[in-house]
Amino acid sequence: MRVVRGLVGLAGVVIAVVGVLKVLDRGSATVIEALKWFVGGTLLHDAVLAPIVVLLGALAVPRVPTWARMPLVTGVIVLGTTSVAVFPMLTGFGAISDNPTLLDRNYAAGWWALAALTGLGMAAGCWWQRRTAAADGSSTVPGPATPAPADRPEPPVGRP
Amino acid sequence: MRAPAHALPRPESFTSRLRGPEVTARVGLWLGICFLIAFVTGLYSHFQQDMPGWLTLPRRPVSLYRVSQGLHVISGTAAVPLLLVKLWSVFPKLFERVDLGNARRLGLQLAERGSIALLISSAIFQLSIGLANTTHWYPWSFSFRSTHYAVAWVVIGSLLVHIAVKLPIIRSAITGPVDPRPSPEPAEPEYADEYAAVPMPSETAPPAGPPTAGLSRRGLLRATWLATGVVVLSTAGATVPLLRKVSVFGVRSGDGPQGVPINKSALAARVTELARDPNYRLELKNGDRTMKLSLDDLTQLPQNTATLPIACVEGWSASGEWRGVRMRDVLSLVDAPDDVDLIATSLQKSGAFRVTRLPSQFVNDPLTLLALELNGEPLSIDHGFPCRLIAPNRPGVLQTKWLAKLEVQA
Repeated sequence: MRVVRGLVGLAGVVIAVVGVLKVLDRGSATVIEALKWFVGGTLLHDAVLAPIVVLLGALAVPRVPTWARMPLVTGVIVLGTTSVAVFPMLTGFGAISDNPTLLDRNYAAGWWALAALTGLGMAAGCWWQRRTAAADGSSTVPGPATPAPADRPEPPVGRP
Repeated sequence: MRAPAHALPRPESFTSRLRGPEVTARVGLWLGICFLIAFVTGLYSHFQQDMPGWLTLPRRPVSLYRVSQGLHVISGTAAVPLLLVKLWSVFPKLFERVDLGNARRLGLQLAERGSIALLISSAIFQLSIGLANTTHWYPWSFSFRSTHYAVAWVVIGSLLVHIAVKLPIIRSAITGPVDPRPSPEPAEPEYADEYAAVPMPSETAPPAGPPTAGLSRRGLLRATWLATGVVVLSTAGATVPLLRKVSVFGVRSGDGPQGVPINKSALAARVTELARDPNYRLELKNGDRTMKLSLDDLTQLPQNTATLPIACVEGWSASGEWRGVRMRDVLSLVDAPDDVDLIATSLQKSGAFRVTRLPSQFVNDPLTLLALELNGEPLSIDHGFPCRLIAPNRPGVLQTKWLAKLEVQA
């Protein structure tokens, strides 16, 4: 196992160095611009997108009944990640006036259709989860199963 | 003003038990598969466009490039939800403190974090510019193709390093159960705060709910697979004709002049006047031997039909029925030998693919045509009127439109 890991790691280092050299070979202007995108993309995720998702999860999930949580999380993952993946289509920044065959769909309508389908799926998931919970004879009462936010402890921010 | 270090959360601040190597390893496995497919198909596309002299690429099946480049874009698109969920699953690790007291341990930690930072930043970079490229959106100044190719090596290299470091954890996580096994004692509550970033002391924890009512890692994984499937189905119609009606986010609907989309219009290439000039002549050149042919001359030559796809490097593709003169027959007019490459030059005055090279095995292929018609009509101006090159299993950028000159390469 150690030998395999060593060989895989060594191959990885060699391949990554080859890649870095290929980038450097493109000249300083490319390197600087690519670095901006490297750092910018990571910052956009780590400092903006991820904290927003974590915060929304912390705020929203405790406020929904337990039987609605998995459908809610599923819906958010489906619609959220798809929206990120199709961001260039939704914004249409690449559209060219002399080429009507590029980006030739109504992407906003597509997004609303997906959002509606996701909503229906979430509703169906909630119905199923609630029915299953009722069949189990437990926790069928809708409403927060966790303490209200006011009862919750303060987050650790600033705690020594 | 700089915030004190303790203002940042710590890994233990994130209490969700949805996170864990069981989720990270499973999502990471599929993410790694997507990256591997994208890397291999990307290499194939790169060699198609920059073919080294020692390499001979196959001409059959005629749709091989269509499939490989479609897979390239589909696997890259599928990687987006997988990468986002994987990054969520390891987000608390971002706040792990380094051990400053032990130089060796510090060195190892920094090396591991450096490799992970390289992997994450290069992966985000590749997916971002790759997706933007599929829509012709270029908000950067570097060359897309060469930079995307170079950074692909960085992604794969840092991925291998990551796998080597984490292999024991990956093996253990993938072979073990996804969720903790139920115990005879009352199970740990699957309460909503599992998803939260805020810790919940045990005395304030809610009573345990039934297992079906809360969140589970298995449920998170199912949601991830579902999201990946939705992303693929909603975009892949640009490549897979069967999915065109459901791919609401496909970059092409499949429509276009003569039923085939275009990548670059005659207007954008600034060839409209030259292509429509009644005095247009195609120049054939083999050493000292030169011949100029009008469109009428070309239509008088024996015509053949071939059903071949236009497969773009941006992943979209469409099949068409092309009609024209076999390239081999055209070159025989200037007595070109059998084993020569061909240099095709467009009427365009500039552009990265204004001049392309057609290797001899493609020149001699009976399906390689100097096309004059598409789907039963003369080529439209945007499809390369008056004539264009079409060959089996080649990227669209090498199927030179608005041909001005064909020169035999000595």
